[in-house]
This record gives sequence, C-alpha cells and structure tokens, in this order.
Amino acid sequence: MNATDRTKAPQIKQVEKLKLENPDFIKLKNGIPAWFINAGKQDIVKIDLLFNAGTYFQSRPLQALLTSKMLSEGTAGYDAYRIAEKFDFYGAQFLANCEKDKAGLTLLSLNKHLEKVLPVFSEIIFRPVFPESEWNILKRKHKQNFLINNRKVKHLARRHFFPLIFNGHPYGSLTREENYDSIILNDLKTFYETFYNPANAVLIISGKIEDHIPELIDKHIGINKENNLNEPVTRIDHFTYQANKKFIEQENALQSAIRIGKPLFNKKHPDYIKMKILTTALGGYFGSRLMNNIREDKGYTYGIGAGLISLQQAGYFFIATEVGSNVRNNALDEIYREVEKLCNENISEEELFKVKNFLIGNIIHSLDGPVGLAENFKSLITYGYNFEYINNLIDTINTTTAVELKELAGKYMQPDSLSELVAGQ
Amino acid sequence: MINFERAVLDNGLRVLIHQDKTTPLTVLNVMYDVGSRDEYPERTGFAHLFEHLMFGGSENVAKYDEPLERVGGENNAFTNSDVTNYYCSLPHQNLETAFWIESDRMNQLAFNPKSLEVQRNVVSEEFRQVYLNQPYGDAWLLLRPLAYITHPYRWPTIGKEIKHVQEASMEDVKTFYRKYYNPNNAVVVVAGNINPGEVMQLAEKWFGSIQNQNEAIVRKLPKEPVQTRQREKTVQRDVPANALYLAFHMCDRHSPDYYTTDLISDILSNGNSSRLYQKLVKEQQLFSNIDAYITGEMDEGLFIVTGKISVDTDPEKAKAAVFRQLKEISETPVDPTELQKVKNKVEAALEYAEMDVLSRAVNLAFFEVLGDAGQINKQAEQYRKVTKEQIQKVASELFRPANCSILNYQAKIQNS
Repeated sequence: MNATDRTKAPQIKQVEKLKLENPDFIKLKNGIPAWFINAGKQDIVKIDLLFNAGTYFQSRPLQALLTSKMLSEGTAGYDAYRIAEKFDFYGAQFLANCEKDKAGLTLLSLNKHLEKVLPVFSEIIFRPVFPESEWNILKRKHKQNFLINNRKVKHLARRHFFPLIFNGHPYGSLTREENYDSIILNDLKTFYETFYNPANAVLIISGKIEDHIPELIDKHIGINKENNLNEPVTRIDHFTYQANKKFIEQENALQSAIRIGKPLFNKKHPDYIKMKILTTALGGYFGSRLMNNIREDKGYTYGIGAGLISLQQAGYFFIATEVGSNVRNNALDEIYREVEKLCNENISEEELFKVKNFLIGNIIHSLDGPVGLAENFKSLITYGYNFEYINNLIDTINTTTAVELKELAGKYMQPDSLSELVAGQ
Repeated sequence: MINFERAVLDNGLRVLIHQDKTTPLTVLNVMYDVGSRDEYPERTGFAHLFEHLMFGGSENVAKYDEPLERVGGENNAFTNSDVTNYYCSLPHQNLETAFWIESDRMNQLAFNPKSLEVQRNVVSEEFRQVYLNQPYGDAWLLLRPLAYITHPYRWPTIGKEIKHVQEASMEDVKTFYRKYYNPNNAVVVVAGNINPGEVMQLAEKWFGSIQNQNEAIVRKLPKEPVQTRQREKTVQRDVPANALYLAFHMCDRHSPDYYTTDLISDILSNGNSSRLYQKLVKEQQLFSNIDAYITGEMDEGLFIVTGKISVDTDPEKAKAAVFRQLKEISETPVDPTELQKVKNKVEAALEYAEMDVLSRAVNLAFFEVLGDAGQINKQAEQYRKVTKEQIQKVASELFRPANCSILNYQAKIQNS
C-alpha cells in the first residue's frame, strides 16, 4: 500500500489567464453610476455606496470620520433606535466607514428582506438630521476609544506615521485628543452638504442579482437631492517630501512599534505593479525576506510586513512591525540591511518565481465570493479601471525581470530616503 | 445549505468534500481534535506552541510554506481550547501540492531544535504583544482562573505564563505529536473548485498510508464543580477607563440549551437595538460600550458580559445596572417581536458566514469534530425552535448570583 513517493513534490501547473467579466452598468436617475456583480451561491445582496468624502477633503480633523458615523444616528423619518431596530429585525448589516479618499456606506441583506431595508438605507443617505443627543454619545464613545487605542504602541505608530511621511499634505493630518472637544455638529452638517452628493458617488452592488434588483436600487438610491452638486469636488496639493525620524516614548511599553516608509505613486503609475512585486519580496508574505530574517531566524517579532498602498492622490511604501523593546536597534539594523540588499543585488530566479506565483495566487484569493469581487472592483473603478486591469495583471507580473526590480529598488527604496518612526521604548 | 460528501479512510481519518464551482479557489483544511484543554497544568500554552512547530518542516518538506508559496497558496492555523486547525488555500490547479505538504507533516514532523528555540521566542513575543502589552490584554488571564477551579478551561490557550512556553522541551514536543497528531484524531476537509472523485483518490494516495502512533483518544477531563457562591476580583491597571467582566457558567456545546443561551446573548447585545446597548450605553450612558457573548466551547463554557464604564461613572452603579438587565430577562418573558428579531439576525448571520469557501471548510471540520458535520445545516432550525419560555428558564438558571465571577478592572488613578 505504501507506494506514495513523498520525497517528490507534485508537478506545478501554471495558472492560466484570468478571464473576469465586467459587471453590468446602469446610470441611476440622479446620475450615480451603478455596477452589478452577480456572484456567489448565497441569497445575499451587498450594496456599497462610495463618496469622495474621505479625510482628504476635510477642513479639520475628525470632520469626515464623524460625519460618516452620524448618518445612521437619525433621519427625517427614523430616529437612531428605529434605524437600528429595522436593520436588526431583518438581519441586515449597515456599516459606515471613512478612509483617506472615500467614505463608504455599506448595506448587507438577505435577498428576501432587501425591499424592507432599502428605504432605511435611502433615508440615511439622503435625509440625515444629525441630532444633538446622539452626537454627544457618539463623540464620547469615539473619544474613549481613541484614548484606549493611544495606549497601544501599534496604534500610536500608525497614527503618527502619516504626518511623518505626508507632512503638509491632507493625507498627513493628525488627530489629537483636543479635536474631540473642539469639533461641532455644524462642521458635520457642512461637510455632509458639500460632499455627500450624487455627483460625488459611485455604487457597486454584488451578490445574487435578481432581475428586479436594478430597478429597486434606482427607486431608493436614484433620488435627487435639493442642492445637487454639479461637479465632483477636487483638490490639488503640492508638497515636498523629506526623510525624517521620530521617536514617541511610551513608558513601560514591552514592545516598540516600528514604521518605516515614504510617499510613492499610486496604481496609475507604470512602475506600480513592479514595485508591488518588490515590496512583496521584502515583506508581503510569510516567506518574505523580512519574515525570514526578523521572525523566523531571529525571533524578534510575532510578525513583520511591508507593502505598497495606492491612494487617489499618491501612494506610499511602508514596513511595519512590533518588536521586543530590548531588540529594537537590532531589528532596525536588520530591516535596513534587507532594504539595502534589494537595492544592490538581483533577486534570484528561484525567489522571483516564488514571489510572482504568490502574487498571482494572492490575486486569485482576493476574487473568492461576491465580497471579494466587489472589493476588487471598488479598488479599480475609483481609478477609472475595470476588471480588464486584473486580466492583464498576470502578464505584467510574469514578464518583470530581476534586473528591472533592482533598478526600481535603487530608484525608490534607498534607505536614506525612508522615514522612520518608533513608538514605545 | 452546504453540500458535502464524507468518507472514512482505513486509518480512521475522516475526509469531507465540499464542491463549489463558482470560486477560483480550493481549500485543504485539517483539524486536529486537540486544544489547550488537553494540556498538563504545568505545561500550559503547549498546544498553541506546537501549532507553531508544525510549520518548522517535516520529513520531506524542509519548509512548509515554501512549496505552497511557489504555487500561489496561502495558509494559516489557529488553536483554541478545544481544537487546532490548519488550512491552506490555493488556485485549484495545484491542489495536490497542498496534499503533499499537509500529509507529510501528519506523517512525520522533522523535530527541528532550531525551530523549537525560535518559536518559543515568537510565542513569547505573541504573549507579550496580545496579553501583556495592551490595555485590558490580561483580562482573560485573570478571568479564567476565577471562573474555573478544576477544568482546564481555567487557563487561556496562550498559557498561564510565559515561563511554561519557554520551558517546553523537545521530548514534550515528540510525546504530544505521537499522542494527538494521528489520522484517527483528525478531520480533513477539501472545499472549492474541485472534482470529488479526484479528491478522494488524492486523499487515499497521500493520507491513506499514514499509520496511527496511538489509539483513538478518550478524553477524561476533570469536571468543573457547580459554583455555589459569587466570586469577585479587583485589579488596578494603567488603562484609561474602568472595565467590568462578568462570567457565568453555561451549558456545553452538545446541550439542547446551547442555542437558547446564544439567543440570550443576542437579545442582550447583538446590534444597536439590543437591550444592553440601548439601556446602558445610550439611555443611561453608564458604559461607552458593552457586549454579551458566549465562549461556545465544547465542554461547559462561559457566558460573558463585558463593558467599558463611562468616565466619571461609579463602577458599582454601572454593575448594578447590568444585573438589573440580567434580572429582567430572567423574570419577564421576552417580547415575540424581539425574539423574532434575534432569530432573523442569526439566520442572516449564518448565511453571511458562508460567503467565502474557507469559512465553509473550517465550519464543516468543526462540526465533524463535534460529532457530525451534517449538523451544520441544521443550525438555523435549532435557533428557530427556541421559545420565549426556554429563554426565561435558561436565563434564570444562568444569571443566578452564585453562578457569577466578577472581574473589576480598574483604571489606576494618575498622579499628574
């Protein structure tokens, strides 16, 4: 029976080209572009409505975040409790989140209850009233969470990293405790009126798309607003980057949180994918150079990662980890050593093969189920791309060479061009 | 509804196959029927440390991750009180690679001393990062030994203390492996874009020849005696807000009351319209957040109520308000609409949880270890059957003061 030869790895089969079909498209009555991704086995519909209303657009800290969180705290037709109760009763999930560029409102519902919960979703989008009593509760809750999080070195490092690399740019805005006391409800109302408008929105619907769904969506989300914004709001910023170092002391911290990085370009730049390969090799997967060295070989940390993030107006490269306070300097030395190696030596063919296949596998992983497809599409459509971009990705990845990568590392990753933040001891 | 096929190999390994042609992915999941409840009291944290060692290489695969990464695969693992689970997911074309590496580490682990040394440090770092170096991180290290006197649930999966992890020897590693990491103590689930016939052949080929090093395990864990009086502990830490933790002993995972108990936690705190959130966070503003949930462990677990107390609020007053809510659900029948609401919520949540193929694979394995994977498709019905009388009866048993352990987690007064 024991005929299985365990010494030999099974033959590797090449992943063929991906062929993703682009979603169906309609324009709602109020002009919002809407895409429908029909996928998955469950009787579920997920609606993602995105506005250009992220922190980038705010005139003071917390304005964008708290606006998004207040929308579901009371509307002309429902108070906060009725909204919560309605969603809860039908098992629907509502989520408001706010990132640097976009603020997103998400509704997840079983198909059979969609018609019941869409009117509430619509109220939240078009008729929020920002009640004073809910505002005080929400503000206090957020402030308390902020204070708790601030005790964590990881959170401290994350918060101070953006001001360090985007100093002078809206991406670099820093939230402080006192901001919770100075922001007023009127700041939120102004922000809402300016940015939460159909001309400023895109809509992605995923899951089981039954025939009647587009019409239902148009009925509840295709509504016109009174002071409709005609043009999307844009802001252009000029800032110059300088490498910088910062240390934030946290007494009694057992660990030091480290962030290293710099601003770079976004996915519209021709070098973006190649830099993605490079950051993956450095710290983008379990077998990456940083994981091998800092975790597996030295045991300095539970985890370390590196990556390249695309934003609408820029992008950034980062390395992130938390290490034992006593090995902080050793860890920093090793991190820079790994970065320098990428600038000076070609990646071996063997390693490059692995990194490329990991990246391709990673893309395939991200395409599992309706949520995965919708997330991918979101990250494309906001740059004017569609699934064609992913279909072409595999070719670009496969044709990149080690020589190109070394050149790019030299151009974009020189250690002395990187900023460094340490929080802890 | 999750469709699956089941087969048992000659060595006792249970194999479940779940086909889903709509995903580009395939998952190979292996769950071992061993968790931190199986540890010696002087070697706590070992099941979890061992999970780390499973990535340190096996007889024919020097580094577990390497072949998998070469075919674009990803993997991870987790350990809890009851089980240890390993999964890898990869583009379906290369499923056999997953069979190779996963079966090789079940067949013969390499017992690499360097790996043991490094992972002892990695796990110690994890201990510091998750349990010591963040606010409220040690709450479970305090709460478990308060609530349990004899059952091994009295220590958390990470272990009682870092020292236990650092003292683990290679002999301990080998003994543990021979005892628990056998085909007769594991469940394999293959899910995703697959052909069931081919998968069965692969399962036979790679797992069929693995010998058991031990007979099937019969667990004899000490039963936790019924708690007869309320326990209370107060600690002071450098945190920004007072916190409250209540732990009540609840039924085991097989009990018919399990689903009722879960719904009680939903009535109390699932969603913004739930009782504790509405009454204590919004109306009375005694807490900035509050949560009620069950640990859901296989043996008798805990029903937890925990919240961060608002600044300038008397903790005793906040605690009394929680007990009033628990009293109310024990004494007054729940409104039919409210009961329908939590049932609807559970039905939707079960559906949402099945959206990705990996969750389906892990859940199938869990239910099979529990006794029968088929039960996964009967959960919604179990919840639907719960009556308002059952809610009241279980709640009044559960929330007896003598059944409660209280942890007062206080913010140290700052001298500034």
